[in-house]
Amino acid sequence: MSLQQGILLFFLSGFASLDRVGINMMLSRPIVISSIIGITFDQILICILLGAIFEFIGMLEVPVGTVILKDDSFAGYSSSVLISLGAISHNNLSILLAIILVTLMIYPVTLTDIYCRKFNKLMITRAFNENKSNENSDSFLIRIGLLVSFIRGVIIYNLATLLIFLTLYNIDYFTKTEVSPIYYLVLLFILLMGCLFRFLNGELFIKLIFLVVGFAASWIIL
Amino acid sequence: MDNIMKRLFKALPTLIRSIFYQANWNIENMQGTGFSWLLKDLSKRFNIGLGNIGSNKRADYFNTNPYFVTFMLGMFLKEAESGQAVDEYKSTYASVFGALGDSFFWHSLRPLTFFLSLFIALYEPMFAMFFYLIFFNIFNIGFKFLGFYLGYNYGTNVIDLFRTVSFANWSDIADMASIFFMGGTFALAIKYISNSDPINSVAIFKTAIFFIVGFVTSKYINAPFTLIAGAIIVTAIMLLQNI
Amino acid sequence: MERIIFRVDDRFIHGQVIEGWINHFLIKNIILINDSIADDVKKTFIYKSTMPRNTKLDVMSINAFLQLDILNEYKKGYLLIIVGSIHDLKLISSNIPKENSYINIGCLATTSRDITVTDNCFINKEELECLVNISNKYSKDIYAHKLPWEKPINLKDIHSNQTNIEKMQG
Repeated sequence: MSLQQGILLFFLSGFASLDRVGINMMLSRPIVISSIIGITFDQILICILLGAIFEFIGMLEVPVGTVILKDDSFAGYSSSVLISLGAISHNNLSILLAIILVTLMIYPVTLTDIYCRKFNKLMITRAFNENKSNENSDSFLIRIGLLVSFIRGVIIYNLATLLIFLTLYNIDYFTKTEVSPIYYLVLLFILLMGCLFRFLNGELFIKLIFLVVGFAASWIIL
Repeated sequence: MDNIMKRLFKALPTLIRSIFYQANWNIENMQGTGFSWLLKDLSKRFNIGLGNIGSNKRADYFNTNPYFVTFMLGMFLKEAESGQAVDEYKSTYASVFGALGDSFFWHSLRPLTFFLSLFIALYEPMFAMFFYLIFFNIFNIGFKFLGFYLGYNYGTNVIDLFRTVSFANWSDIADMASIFFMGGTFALAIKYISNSDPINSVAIFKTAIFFIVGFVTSKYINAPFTLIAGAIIVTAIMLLQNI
Repeated sequence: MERIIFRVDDRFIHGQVIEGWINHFLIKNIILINDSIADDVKKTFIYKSTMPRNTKLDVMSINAFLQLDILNEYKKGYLLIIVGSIHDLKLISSNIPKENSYINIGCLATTSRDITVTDNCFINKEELECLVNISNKYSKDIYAHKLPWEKPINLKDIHSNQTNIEKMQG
């Protein structure tokens, strides 16, 4: 990994976390993060496929009210970094193991997001108690919120990725197979597509018609 | 120049700030700090009291969909200029915009953008990411800037506009489009795994089984566990085939 | 899930209600009970404009709801009935069907109330007593239940915890 790539990962992890909390410009979507990492490390196809798989985790949840979404940005970031840095090989079973570990790691990473929101609450309660609520204090709270999210991304995303990296690196040797995992990743993708099919609005019958028409159109045209 | 356009330019810095207004999101007042921050900023720019805020008033509870906040700002400015009490509609519109925005942006636009990006990726993988960001943010930025204009133009009657364009149905339309492209993706996936054999019944059967299992299990298990279970099953299949 | 869902929510219709309850159970009939909204044509119109396709929202006053024969008027499918406060729930409680109904508390976001039930549900002692009374009177458990796929919290458990805390403090 070159210095430029390292700097890019530093900022990418920070901005992905920041985007989830305060910006919502979709830089944090796994497919976007994975594509950026894929382009940087020249691993675009496999990274997009991994990003697409983790994208479903976010798509199947809606951040309504106080719901804090599972941190799919971390999953996209981590899995792409792992494959780009060679912790997992392309023709290797460990890619599936990586998916399992990264998915499990989503939970503690999401917990840190919850703590960030709690920190925001602490800050605002303190401002209330000190009777400091003017434009400057609001602005300060917003800036602190952005900074904390950025730091969370840089530290937590990379630390969690490092943990998975070390785990996988040690067992990678034992899990080498000659079968390409891409085939199985596509199957996983379809499994999650089934979940999304239920999630999307509409009567089942009408949804089925659209699915079949889309299928036929794609089959014939492409 | 149109009077509203003048206001739009004057409010431009506040609208740009609105991109960050959610940064202090917390369970105490949700987006209250950010909304108060925006209102105070707008208030200063137009030299007018906006809503129930004083320079030292603590930020109240406020929560809506982040892409709709500028509608509220426009509405507040309009009503403040005409001496109306907009606070009466603040919570109503915050809830209603939350409902409309969550359905459209979070529920429907993300899957649609995702499937469209996948199709772009087929031709040029590098463009998929740019397409995702551009397509989604056309709506994001469009709603942010147009939202202020429309919120100011219509005031508390802005809902008429949503009714006119049947906004509540946009989510359903986007979902149907997503399903259409999902079908297309399904076909491509089968073509990919059937190794260029145009009609491989085994591949169709396998993918159909996975799709149905995903459809059924999603009723009972959340997405991360479905993914973990799927990965374990797929690993088992892979190992069995290897033996 | 029971067919007739009562929900106490001070934001009435918002993301959680549309995305969580209406879309999840494909609810086609909703009743919003609130005197001030029922009297306000504009607010009624605003709330009705959020309804997804083929979903009907009726806005009515408490008295109008008390005259309503729910089981006969809404014979099939899910029915979601939303009130804005625990006080309003108490007022309509005589018209809660004993069968096929489920009562849940959603968003009550005034943080100045001292009992925290969930991260967006805060109630005071009187409201908790009121809920337990309704629960006992109609032999029906009441839950704090933000979203259908989340684990509901029985308000009776909150009440017994609160009683224990008071005993310890006393």
